[in-house]
Amino acid sequence: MAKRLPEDIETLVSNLEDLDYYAILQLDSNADYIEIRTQFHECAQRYHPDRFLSAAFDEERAKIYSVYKRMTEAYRVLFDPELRVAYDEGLRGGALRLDPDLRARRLTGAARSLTSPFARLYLNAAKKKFDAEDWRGAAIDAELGLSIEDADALKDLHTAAVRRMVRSGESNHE
Amino acid sequence: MAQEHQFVLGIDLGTTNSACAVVQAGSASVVRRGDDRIIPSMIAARSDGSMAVGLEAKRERLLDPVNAIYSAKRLIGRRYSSPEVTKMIESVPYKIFEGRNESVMVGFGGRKLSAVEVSSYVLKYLRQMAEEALGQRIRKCVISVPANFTDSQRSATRISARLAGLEVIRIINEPTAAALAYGYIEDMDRRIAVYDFGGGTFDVTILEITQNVFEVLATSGEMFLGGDDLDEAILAAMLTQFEEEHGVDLHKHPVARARLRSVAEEVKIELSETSQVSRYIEGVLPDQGKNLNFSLTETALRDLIGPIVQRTVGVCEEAMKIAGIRREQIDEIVLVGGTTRIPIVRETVQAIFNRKPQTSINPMSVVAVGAAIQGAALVGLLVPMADGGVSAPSMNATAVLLDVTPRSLAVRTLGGNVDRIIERNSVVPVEQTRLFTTTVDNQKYVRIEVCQGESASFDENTKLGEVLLSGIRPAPRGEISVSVTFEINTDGLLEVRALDGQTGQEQTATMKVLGGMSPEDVEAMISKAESEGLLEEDGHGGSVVAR
Repeated sequence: MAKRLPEDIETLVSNLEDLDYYAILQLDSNADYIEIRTQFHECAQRYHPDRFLSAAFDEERAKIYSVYKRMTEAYRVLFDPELRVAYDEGLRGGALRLDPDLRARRLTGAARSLTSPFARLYLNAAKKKFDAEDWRGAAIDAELGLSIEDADALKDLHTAAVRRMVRSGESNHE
Repeated sequence: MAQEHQFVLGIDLGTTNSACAVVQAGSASVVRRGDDRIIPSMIAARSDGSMAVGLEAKRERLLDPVNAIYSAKRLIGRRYSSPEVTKMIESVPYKIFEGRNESVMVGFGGRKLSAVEVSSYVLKYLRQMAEEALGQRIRKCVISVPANFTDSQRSATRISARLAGLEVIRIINEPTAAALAYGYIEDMDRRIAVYDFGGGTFDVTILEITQNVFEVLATSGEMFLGGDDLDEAILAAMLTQFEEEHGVDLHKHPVARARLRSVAEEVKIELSETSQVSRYIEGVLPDQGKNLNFSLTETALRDLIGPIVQRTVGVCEEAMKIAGIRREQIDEIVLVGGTTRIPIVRETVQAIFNRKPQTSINPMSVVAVGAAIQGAALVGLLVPMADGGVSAPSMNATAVLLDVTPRSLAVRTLGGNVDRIIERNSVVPVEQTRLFTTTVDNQKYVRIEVCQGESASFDENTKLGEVLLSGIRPAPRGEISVSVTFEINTDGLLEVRALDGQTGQEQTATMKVLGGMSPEDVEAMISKAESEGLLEEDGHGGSVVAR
């Protein structure tokens, strides 16, 4: 008699291509980032292939693996604010998965040096404001980024913004 | 027959020394043979043609340095032409040459072995040691590797274990294992610095643990910085004294030097416990009867080795910089490696991180203990798959470890730069696909070169291998696109696939891993080992591996 996988996994396997990222992680579409992370960790404890090392057959291992791989994909996208925005937009048009090209998006030099996607978000916002000569806004965003990650790219931008802010303050007084 | 308890051996296969541990009755213990818990990662050919492993091999090395292989970990899974192998060729007395598929071979005592086989002898020795201690056959293991090991080094280590008759149920990063040994998995949100100062290498890794996810924030190190350098510094003092007293420069006497080096190592180890050590070495040059009376105080040792230990400071600072954290943000410091037993090293660590390091577990076996704990956890949390009956996974106290990719994976682009397909610190498994187009008219094939590392220049990273996709339909450049998919599975192993979706007939090519072995080679090696009885019981548990 063939060994069987727990029913919830069989269900996930057969519905895999009909589930969006929120559904596969059993999340609400308005879940916040802490909920996303906690829920992913819960799923990992339950569905990680390590739990099924005793599965005798390659076929079962492959099923577990495919489910868990989709979960990590969902987590990677939903936990990254930029990717999540792109995904939510696509999802409204019926795309259950984010386009592979967007998923494998390239990061530029400064953004790459940051580990946290949230710090990266602040870095990008600060850069935009800096380019628009909003020195104060840029400095605030860089500082918010620094509260998440102590990165050189954020520090440099912060210093530059503060310097411009001081300089423009001086010229206003003249 | 009652089913025996299934032990999972936790193995720390080190550059200089190795150790193994198992979890028994809920607690982890280091496997020992007599008083020996730490086995030199060394094999040697005796003059009668037999093979010595471990301590025996270390003794053989004193007599015949050319025929003793050590530091095979520096060679395993690397390409022959890599800078690390080139450096090894310059610095070791044994022969290193190129095998098939750019792999590395060593020659000694009239035989040729791949680096993978050398390590398999050490692993087999550990396996037998554990079987003797536990009185049963051991088939499964968790084996640790440095956090910065590449895909090919991990695969090669796995093959070594297979050759030694062991199934690897998980490859674990050494710093993760060390943190597990201290039980940090139970804690929430911690940052840990693992300071690993071994016999031949120095590494520092900064880990962040959040709800059982072990994330490597940064790992830095020096490949050639370890306890051996400290021995060399003490040896240099001995050589100077000898020359002053006898007017003989021992640099041209390798056997005398090898002997003094092993005395230097003993002196170093003893000075961790006492304030002064004296040694009288008779007949340094046997035929001339010249003796050396050497003594060293702990204070003098500090002067000798201080500058070398100081080199670890910059490496730690670099790691914190890469991780983007200040030292105040690190919660614990874990010490790994025999060199961290030296008082000046501990003081240096404390000064770097402004915090006292953890010392309650022996730094020489902490990695093996952590690997054993992970092995027991993996077996313990398996989901029972009762026939017919469906059981949901039970949420027990032991947690699944989530690994992330330690290094980015990239392909070469025009101009020798890289295009990263998978960024470092992605939770595995991860699959990413990107489209590439042909760059010349009527291009017949696409060659995709793969590397691992963080540099923007391809050649500064570690090249892993390449995929060749041929039979492409002739077309103007840019018209044909090829999709390249990178997938890293839960074991951290990489698969690269290239797909030409436009010829109508899709074709996939899989990467050829350089410095690695083809599946056929591996199978051939395993069947050879089986036919020679290498994988079976020897009947005796001596430290000799007969051939």
